[in-house]
Amino acid sequence: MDNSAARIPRGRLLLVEDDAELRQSLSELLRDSGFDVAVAENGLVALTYLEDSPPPCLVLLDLMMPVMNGWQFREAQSRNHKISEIPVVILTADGRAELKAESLGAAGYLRKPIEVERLLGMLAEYEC
Amino acid sequence: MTSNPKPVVLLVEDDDDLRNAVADVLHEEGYELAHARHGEEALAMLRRRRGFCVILLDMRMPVMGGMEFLRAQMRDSKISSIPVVAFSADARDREEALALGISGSLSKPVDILQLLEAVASLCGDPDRLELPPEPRAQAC
Repeated sequence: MDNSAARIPRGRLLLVEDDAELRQSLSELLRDSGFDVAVAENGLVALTYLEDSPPPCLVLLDLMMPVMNGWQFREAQSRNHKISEIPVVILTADGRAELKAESLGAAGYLRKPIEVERLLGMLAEYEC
Repeated sequence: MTSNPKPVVLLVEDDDDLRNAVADVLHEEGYELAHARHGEEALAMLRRRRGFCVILLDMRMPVMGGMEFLRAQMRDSKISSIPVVAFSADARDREEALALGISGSLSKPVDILQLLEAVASLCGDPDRLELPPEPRAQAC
């Protein structure tokens, strides 16, 4: 069944997003595409998850979140050698996405609203 | 004509230099901006005018500081739903504000990319929001 790409088991992702609706719709979409998706509603929850779980192949990171935002998360991540190498793709609402990705040392970026094809293409690039 | 095509950012900051610097950046990015020097002025402005998409709130100000402003805003159902992003050099100030359920916080000195992200995530990207330049010409 070659057309059942959605059922091919894929890698584990961590989606860090405070918008509950977006978190749910994006995680459902990714699960339907075969990914094993963990979710966190802010940077602090994400850090705790990464500390205690097998590393995901990629972190999808919103920037503007309460409690711990994307910048604070990246700072904490870079200080922790156990998780510092996990690649991060930022999800940004603002036009200066490339500059932000660069300033955060992120592997890439996706503009909000998220284009599904771009997201899946990016995940394929990272061989998730 | 009361139409207001772009949502307005309210910047509440007592430091003139910082207020002007942030105002310049947001204007350049295409946002419409209003400012207040302290919480009391901000409350008056919010009650007088509509269309605010976010309040950027310094936590330490004279007359009425950030926490006092937040409590007053929450008690007023006409303005309580406007999202707030607080900024302060003191992490405890930010935590206290976040505990009241605000949308986010930024440390001081303010990182301009973080500020733009906060505004874009709550107000939208002005490049995408922009209306056609002369809508009234067609309407006539």
